[in-house]
Amino acid sequence: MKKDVLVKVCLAATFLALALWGGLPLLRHRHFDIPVVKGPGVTAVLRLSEFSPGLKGTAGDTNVYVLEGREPGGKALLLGDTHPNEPEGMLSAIVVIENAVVEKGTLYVIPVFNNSGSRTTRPGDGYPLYFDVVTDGGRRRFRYGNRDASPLDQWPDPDVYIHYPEGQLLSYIDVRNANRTWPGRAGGSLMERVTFGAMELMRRQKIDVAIDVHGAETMYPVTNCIVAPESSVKIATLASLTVKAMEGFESHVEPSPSGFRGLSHREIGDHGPALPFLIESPIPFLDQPTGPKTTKFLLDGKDPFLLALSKKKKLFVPYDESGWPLEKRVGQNLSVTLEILRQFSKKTAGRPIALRGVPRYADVVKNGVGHYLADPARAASGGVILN
Amino acid sequence: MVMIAYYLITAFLLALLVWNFVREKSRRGDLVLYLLVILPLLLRLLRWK
Repeated sequence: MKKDVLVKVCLAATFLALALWGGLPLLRHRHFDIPVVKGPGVTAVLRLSEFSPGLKGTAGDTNVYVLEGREPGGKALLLGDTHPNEPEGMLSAIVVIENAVVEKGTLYVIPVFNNSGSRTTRPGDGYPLYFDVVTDGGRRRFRYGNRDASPLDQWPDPDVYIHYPEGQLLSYIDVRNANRTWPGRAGGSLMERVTFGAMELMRRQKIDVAIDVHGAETMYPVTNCIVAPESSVKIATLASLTVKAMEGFESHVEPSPSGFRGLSHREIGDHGPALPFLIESPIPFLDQPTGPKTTKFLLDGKDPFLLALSKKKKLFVPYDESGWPLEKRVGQNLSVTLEILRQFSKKTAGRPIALRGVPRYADVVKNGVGHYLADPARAASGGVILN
Repeated sequence: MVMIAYYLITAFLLALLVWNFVREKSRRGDLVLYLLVILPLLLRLLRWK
């Protein structure tokens, strides 16, 4: 073999080896499934593609858990992992699935709304691929994803993303953001088909309340809050005041801007029957001026740089040495969700939504999130659904 | 339609780069640079998931 050919073969083999070394962990992460235990209140598990056939067989398809109550009433939809790098939404949804018993009305829960995004990572940001939560039965492992869908599933990105149906010009990257593609369309991009599926679910099942659970940076003003449009703002305000008075934590109300399109808290109400709410709890891990993005930091929310910034009043939330741990974030989400449902039931005759078994803020802070996660190894046969 | 066009462009660029890589005789730095650019284009074309 000639020398130059040998050099080329060696170089190509080295590059292939490097690609495999870097790619295999990403391949395993993409195909890692999260087990969710069907709790006492789960009455059916559907697929989102039943409402948006264009999702069938794609990475956008995902599970929809139905918790139907013994008595009729209103209907609510709970979404987690719209942004899969904000895991408090997914964990709140899983705690509800594994613990809630609905007494009146029906609850629909989608714990991994952006399934594609949950199976990729953010290039260049050093995100961990997984995180573990300590439960009473051992550790449970979850995928840690990216804000946007994977370019393996939706590609190419346009130069400018034109929102459907409003025609507003948005950043190209938001074409893969499941919270910029509402209300979606049947034959659109993957993320448009995902949000279309949720819109169809809400329209066909006549959903009354839709709650989209997120996390936001401590340096971003829209954090620690309930975002609500005009139609939902009274219930959001009552929920905000009640959790502050009764449970001692802040979750202020932010108005949903009517001129910013594609967001769940705007489009769900404009294109369907449900009252939309978007919950944000602070997740320091997403802030930019921090130390390394470790799993520990993701879970405890402690960072010395943010602490220094807090002392200079640069953050939008109170922040001290205790950080902003996962327990507080999930606890807030659960309490605010329960309070929104309670306030809706009080104000809407004949459409009550009542559930029991879901822990509130103080319970989760005291016992930890893991205490409310079931052990898949001990679940009954057929009682574990992979997500 | 746009996606098909992008795949065709990817295939065209990949063919040019592979051709240049094969023809290059002496400059090893250039070989490394060709491989650096070939790799993501190849992965896109293979659609490995």
